Amino acid sequence: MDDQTVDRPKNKFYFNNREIVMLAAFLALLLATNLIWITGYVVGNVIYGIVEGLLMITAAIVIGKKYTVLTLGVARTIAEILIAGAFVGSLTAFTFLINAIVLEAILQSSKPYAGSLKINVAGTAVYGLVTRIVFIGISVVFYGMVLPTWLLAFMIIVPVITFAIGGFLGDRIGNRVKNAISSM
Amino acid sequence: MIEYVNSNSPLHRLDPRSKIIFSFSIMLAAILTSSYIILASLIIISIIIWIMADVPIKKLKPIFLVLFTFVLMGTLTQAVFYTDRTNYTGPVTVLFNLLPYNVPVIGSLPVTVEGLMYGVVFSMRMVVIILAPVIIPFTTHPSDMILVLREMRFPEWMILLITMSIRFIPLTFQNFYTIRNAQKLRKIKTGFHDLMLLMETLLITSLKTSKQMALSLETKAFGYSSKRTSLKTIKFGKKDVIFSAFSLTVLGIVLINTGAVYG
Amino acid sequence: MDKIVSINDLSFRYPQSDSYVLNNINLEVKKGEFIGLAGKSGCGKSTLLYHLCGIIPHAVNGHKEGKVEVFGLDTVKHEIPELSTHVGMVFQNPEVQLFSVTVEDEVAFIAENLNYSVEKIKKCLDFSLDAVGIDDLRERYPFELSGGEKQRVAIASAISVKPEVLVLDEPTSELDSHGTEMVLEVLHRLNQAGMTIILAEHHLDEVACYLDRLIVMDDGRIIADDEPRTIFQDRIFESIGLRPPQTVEMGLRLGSSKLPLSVNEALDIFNTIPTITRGIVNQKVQGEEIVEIDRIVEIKDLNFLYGDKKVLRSVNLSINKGEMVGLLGPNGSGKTTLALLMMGLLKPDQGLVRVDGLDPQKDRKKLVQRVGFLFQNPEHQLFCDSVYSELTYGFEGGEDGFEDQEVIDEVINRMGLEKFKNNHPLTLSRGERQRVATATALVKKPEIMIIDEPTTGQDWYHVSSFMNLVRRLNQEGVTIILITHDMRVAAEYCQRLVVMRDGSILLDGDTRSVFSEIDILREADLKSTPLTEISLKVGIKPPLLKLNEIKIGEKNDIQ
Repeated sequence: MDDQTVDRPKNKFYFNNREIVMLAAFLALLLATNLIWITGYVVGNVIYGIVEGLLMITAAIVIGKKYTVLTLGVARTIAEILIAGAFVGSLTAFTFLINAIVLEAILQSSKPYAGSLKINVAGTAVYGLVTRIVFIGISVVFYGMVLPTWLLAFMIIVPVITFAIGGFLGDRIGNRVKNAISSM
Repeated sequence: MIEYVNSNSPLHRLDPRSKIIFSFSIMLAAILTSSYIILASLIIISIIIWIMADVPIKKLKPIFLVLFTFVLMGTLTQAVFYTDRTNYTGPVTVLFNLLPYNVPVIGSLPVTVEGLMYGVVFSMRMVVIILAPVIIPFTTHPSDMILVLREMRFPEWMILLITMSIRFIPLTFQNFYTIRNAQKLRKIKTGFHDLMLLMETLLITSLKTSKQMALSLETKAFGYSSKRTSLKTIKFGKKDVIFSAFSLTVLGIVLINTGAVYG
Repeated sequence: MDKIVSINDLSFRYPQSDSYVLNNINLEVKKGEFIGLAGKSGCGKSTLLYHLCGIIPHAVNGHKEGKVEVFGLDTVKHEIPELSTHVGMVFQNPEVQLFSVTVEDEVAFIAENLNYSVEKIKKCLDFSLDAVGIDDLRERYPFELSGGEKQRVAIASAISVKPEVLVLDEPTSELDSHGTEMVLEVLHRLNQAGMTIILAEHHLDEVACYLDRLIVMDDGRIIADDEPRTIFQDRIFESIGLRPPQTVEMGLRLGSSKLPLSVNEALDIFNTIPTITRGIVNQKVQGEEIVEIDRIVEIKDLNFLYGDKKVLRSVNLSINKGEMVGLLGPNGSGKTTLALLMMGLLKPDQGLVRVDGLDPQKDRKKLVQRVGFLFQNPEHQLFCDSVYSELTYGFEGGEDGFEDQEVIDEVINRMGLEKFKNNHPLTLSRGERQRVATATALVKKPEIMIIDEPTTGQDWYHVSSFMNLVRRLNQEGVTIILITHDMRVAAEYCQRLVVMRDGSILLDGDTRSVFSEIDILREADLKSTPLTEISLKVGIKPPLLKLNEIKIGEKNDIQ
């Protein structure tokens, strides 16, 4: 019989099975990051942003397909509402949807997807900004929390920095992880 | 994470959707009202539902911890900040200042009676907002949650993605603790750089099995067609109609009340 | 139709590689056969199995020559879902094949994917749960189950749509002896019910007697395909660095004409040979007298709780310098917890722990420099992107720590890691990774090594080369604490055994006397090796531990 190289058949879904499994692993990690808040408000604020930024960019790089971030955002919103009970009030779970849409749009501006360090860092900075604005927005508008402007400004600037650091580290780790996994 | 508690309580037997309607109605009611009495009633309703749900007190410990933090932080911050905003026109009765002198930008952080009163309202609202939805994961088996998604016609791959992530969470924690232990044994003083190395190892170990898992999914004919049949189904029954009607009635009463107050 | 699998002139290589993983394979499988597939890691077993269920060519790319037919269906022309109703596939690691949140959903998974009607799914589910005997697990979370239970769920899932052939890729290699027994029992039952089974496996001790045929692969080729007895008689396993079941080795040593494949068969042979020497028992006692007692580990009345669960209950243990101690027990008996307490990673609720005179809680820093700890999965303890930086990792952090170039080079040489010096540790093979992990412990020149389940999932070739290394370290004076459930490794390598169950120590003594307590071992879900079991049954007590202790023809006066 002749030599034959058989290509993968067309996938039924946009993501193939391996990508779905990897998305699930990332989603599990993202859901697990909620536990970072156990370390307290101050440490939590720093570490959480870094880890989440890192995971989002790593996922985008490792899976490397458009809509990775958006998919994670949608799945996470559902998971937070249904499964984790969204500890801090179910409405805030929608943060994960809105910020994912923003980050998805930014990452799509680089080719390949999430392929530019600058865009990744900028993207996570905006991601952090949106995350916090939506979160605070829900707390202020819906829950009626009153906060002074200086505190709001502080609460918004911190995640911009920490998420951006996460994006930077995610860019480095993402490429390393991708190489390690592809050679396994 | 909240863990499903196995029981056969009335709450467990309800369709997850009616529990979602309940938690959203109660939350919405809490958001709309500022009345102590209504908020107190909403808390009482939530507690009654909790008691019916037959969840052991021990499991509630982390929830109480979160509630306590929110009540404390809520009352404190609102006590200080409520009267501190520019558009506030009501009376200001200062009890004492948190800071001994006026710090630029921040001010002297006065604790006011009006602020404290609002803080109590805000805290009560947060208690309802936290208590009500947490009932869902405690009383609904994850597999029933997944059925809700299927009923809502989510794509199958998205449902599988969420199912697997739930399944992966315990594994992720286990990996994390093992890797952290291993790292502690390799190096005594660990810094930020080591945390990143830990993340990298955690990521690689979590993703490494993905190839095998994908093959396994393949042999299990996942993706054979974009639709799947389902062994189990959920049914929105009589009990669910009654429970949802109750939830919506509560919301309705609150709506009428707030309308009466403001209108 | 009698012939259900037929493979003709199959060769295969993966796209990135020039060398063929499979070389000119020809194979036919008849209905109802129970076939064992053996060979070293990397010999092509898995690749061959992938061809049977259609993973190759449908999900994995490569360069394929030849033809594979399952039930007359050419696997190239028929997609995996179609093949899945004929061939069920079970993988090595139960974790990678369970996707659902209940056992029931897991077992119904394939039927749901194939769009069966609800009634049909229910039938599949009932058939499968019943066939595997896990009806009681129906509503459990798959991730809460023990390894053996998980693997049985995986089997139930694979056979749910009633395939005629069940293909298993080392399904027991990650399980303890109880789990292994459960899985093999299920396979035997399924085979009795008419299912064809193809089982790739390293350890054939418990399954050899059920096999109709044994296929041995080496380097991508089938080097033998015959009745198990014939293959063992021809010493094929030994020729490729593996070892046959212990009963077979006993038969070979005793020169029996019909090699025993089970304990009972071996027992018959033992009984017919009256002059097996028992002298070894006498010699042993003098050799093991301890001249000076220098305690390196001291544990007194140790209790540890995890939540409300008592994981350790008043454990007392002391280990002497230079000993090689095996810590045995089923999964969940508290072995690893005990080890973590020794390292100060967990805090005792009550009791005293001293390691090398240090309190692990207070002096972990010093302790870490003196004790090497190898985790079950080497991946968990590797952090750097090259083998070299891996070995220097941890040095730079300590106050008195400094990079000692000579030590590092020496360890790299000793562990045969020169050519991997700049490779990413996680891209190496499992055996190589284990060597890297060991090397990271050795650069500290440890006085004690705690080794957690080092032999899980590996073939004898890799097990023996690793264990020989451990033995050499022990001979050089390193105290070894070996956590294992591999009873053959325990019997052949350890001087002393500590048996745990439910957080308590059941037995503690020299290896031979521990193996004498066959009933207590069974109570701890541990299956003693065929040799010890047989020697006890024929009245040799304490029992024989190693094959070379069997001596024929020498009269002995132990009585």
